[in-house]
Amino acid sequence: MSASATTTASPTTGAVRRYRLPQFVLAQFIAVRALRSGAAWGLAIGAYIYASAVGYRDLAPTSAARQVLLDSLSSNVGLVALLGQTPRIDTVGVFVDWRALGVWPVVVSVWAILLSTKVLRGEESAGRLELFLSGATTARRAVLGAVAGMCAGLAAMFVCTAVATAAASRHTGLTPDTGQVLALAAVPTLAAAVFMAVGALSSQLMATRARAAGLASAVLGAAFMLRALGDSAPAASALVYASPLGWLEKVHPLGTLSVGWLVPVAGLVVVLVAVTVALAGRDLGASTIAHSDQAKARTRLLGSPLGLVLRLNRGSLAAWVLASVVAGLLYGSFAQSAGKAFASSSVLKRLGGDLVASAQHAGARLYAGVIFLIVMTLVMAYVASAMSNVREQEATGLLDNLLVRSVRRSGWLAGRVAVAAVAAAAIAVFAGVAFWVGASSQHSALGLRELLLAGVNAAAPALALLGLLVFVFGFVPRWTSLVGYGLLAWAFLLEMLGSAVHINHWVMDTSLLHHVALAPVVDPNWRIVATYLGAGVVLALAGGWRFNVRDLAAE
Amino acid sequence: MSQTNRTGAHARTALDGERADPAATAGLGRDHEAAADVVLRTQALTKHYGSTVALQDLTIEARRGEVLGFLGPNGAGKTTTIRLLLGLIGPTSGQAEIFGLDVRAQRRAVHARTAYVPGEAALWPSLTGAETLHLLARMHGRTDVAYRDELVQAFDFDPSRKVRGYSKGNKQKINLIAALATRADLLILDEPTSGLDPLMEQAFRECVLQAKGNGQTVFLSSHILAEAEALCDRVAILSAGQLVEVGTLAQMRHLSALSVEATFPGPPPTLDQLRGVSNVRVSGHQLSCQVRGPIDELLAVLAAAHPTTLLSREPSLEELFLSLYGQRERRNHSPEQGPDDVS
Repeated sequence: MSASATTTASPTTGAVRRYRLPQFVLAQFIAVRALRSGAAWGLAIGAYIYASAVGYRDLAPTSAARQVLLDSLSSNVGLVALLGQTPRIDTVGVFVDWRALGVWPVVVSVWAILLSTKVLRGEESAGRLELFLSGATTARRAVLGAVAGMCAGLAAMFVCTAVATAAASRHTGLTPDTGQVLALAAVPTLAAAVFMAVGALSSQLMATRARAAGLASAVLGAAFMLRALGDSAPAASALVYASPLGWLEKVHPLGTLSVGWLVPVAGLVVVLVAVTVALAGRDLGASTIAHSDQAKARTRLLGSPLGLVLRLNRGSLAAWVLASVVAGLLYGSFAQSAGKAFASSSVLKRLGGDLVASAQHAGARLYAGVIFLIVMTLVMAYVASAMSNVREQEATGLLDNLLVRSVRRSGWLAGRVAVAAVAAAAIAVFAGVAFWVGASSQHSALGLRELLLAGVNAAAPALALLGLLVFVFGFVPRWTSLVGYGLLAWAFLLEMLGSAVHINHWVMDTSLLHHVALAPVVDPNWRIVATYLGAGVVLALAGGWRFNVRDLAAE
Repeated sequence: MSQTNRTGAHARTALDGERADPAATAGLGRDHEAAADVVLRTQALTKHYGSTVALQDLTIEARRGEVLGFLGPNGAGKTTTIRLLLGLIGPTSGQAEIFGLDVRAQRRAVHARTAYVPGEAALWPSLTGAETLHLLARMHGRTDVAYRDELVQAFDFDPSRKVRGYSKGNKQKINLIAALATRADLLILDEPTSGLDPLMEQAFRECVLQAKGNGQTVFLSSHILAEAEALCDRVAILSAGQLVEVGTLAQMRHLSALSVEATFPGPPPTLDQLRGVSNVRVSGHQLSCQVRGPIDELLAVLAAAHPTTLLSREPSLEELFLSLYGQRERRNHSPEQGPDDVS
């Protein structure tokens, strides 16, 4: 920044430093933050690619084993819906391509939505964008600057993915050429770019960050569903072409590379950004979709701190539960066919990792176990977000406004934690029930009781995480979000890597997911569940005690 | 600065919330009465953040029905003091009591009788003004609904909009209305008129005077000196975490100079040799100066020159503040005197 500054002499006012235009400052400001997370995602994708390649080499070293693998995967509707259409898997590259690019484009798209709505609507709502717009710039230029800053994060993701993939290929038998490596890095990067642009556009359309993120998430959900339905239902295969995730699926960077599919995706990004910039000329604080600030007073639930939590979070709570029910129904309905594939493939059983290696049941239970592992991760994500919100209430001074009245600190925190705990359990249990409904509709043998218990079991790591985060909130409040999302990412990464490569058990033990039985593949380990809950309660009590006596800490 | 003012003008006996024993001696009885009237008291209240001293040895009292101004430049420790009084943060050492209750250990009981207006309004953007007022009233535990409606009118506030759509001033009105409507025994106001227009500032002043008339105590942190001058019975001036001065305006004015302006039919007299006179300025037939201490000698010289007009004016709070703060800064920078000499 100082390097770009110029100094001119003025006879009346002395030396005046001149800096870059505000849009460039804004771009740099955002780029610094986006670079770190973009690079981290790129490295995580690279690590996953490495683990998948090593896993495949060990699992299917012969052509016969590959044939079994291919047969199992191609008939597995559930996996196809989850990860995408399976090409002919006869090389390690094709396997890695299918496994990694089925997951990561969706994960990084969620990150891109959160980033872009924060930058382009959250900052505006907080009044910080005004500071830039009061300089020698326009709203459109500021939006372009913000998009450019976020693109730096995408560039970091692209570079790190490519470098990590190239490095991983030396040790795994992957033999991609430069074009393939670049194409592989381009797929998740462009997925993130599309949904960064969707988030940017929805930030112009909607008046609040929550609404903007909700709209963009709905678009991502729709894109995923279109791709999943198109891949899993032959009669609806054309739906794949209606989704940018479907276009990216067609690229197959490490198989039969079709780089042409990247062009419409890039074109979509350009169009979305252009529309965003065009709409950015609106009044500051306004939105393209009219949003009235006038409303009739509805005071129900506004009589207690607990009621306030429910009132303010009812939308997101409903969205989480609805998403768990819809996902449970969808993936439950694939249980029967997926189960047949799992049951017939010893190779796939091993693909699930050590947790399922001891499983005595096959088929649908194994498939349901994989789905409930994902449910565990999602419920942990909910808990991390709920505790992050608790910290935000303190950091922004909203908590002051309650605690200077007749509200007990312990009561306030207990209410927040209780809501998070009940919601986490509800998300997991509803997912279990919905999975049973979906599975039953396809005459699967999976019973309600075992899926209900699997749901309860899936809530255990989230509740342990909740207790741990209350502890962190009590002792080191500013670390609450970092620890929450950090542990979530760590556990997710270890489970993904651990399913394919051998990782030292001391390292694996640090994952909250690692110790939990993969119900309904095996019966829940109630001792572990009780230990998790007990540890969570003890940590939460310690954190609650500390919160009661410590200074409130602003941002 | 006098030691009496430095440590507060009121007795600091233990508070028990009871009236003084009428059978006690007159002096002791007065002490007990004053003690019973004390609503807020701090004793050597100190707050450090690591090596940073946010507040050092603050000893101060506020009585029932009093408006106590709490003044100081940015970073002086005003908001830290208020957060300590509200029990949001704990002291490094020292004590703070409100209604004779420890603000940390018995904060809920304290809060039930206290209303607070923060300088920066943090409110829930998705709630409307009416919903926020309802919420804040319920969280406090009591509110005078009819008075709240009056305040909504007095502050010309539209409660039907969502908080995210309000200006800074309107958000501040929500905090003010919510606090005043509780009719709490103690109002702690931290820069309460931040963002209010002059008309609303006037409405606020009327509300504070009305609260004072009702026997409520007001602890008013402000850097709007005209506001403090208009409302406060006593003011405390804080600088760099330390109490510089506390007292009534009358008590404090003797510390600063009196301004004198005079017009003469001919050239003004020479004042060079007069004791206590400073800042003498002459412009044509007009003369202005400042005098500290006895003024009889100055008046005699001026009268001998037959002035056509003569105006004298006591120092404003702003002048007092600047004078006190300036003295402190000069002493802090004086090579002969260390910081201990200031107080």
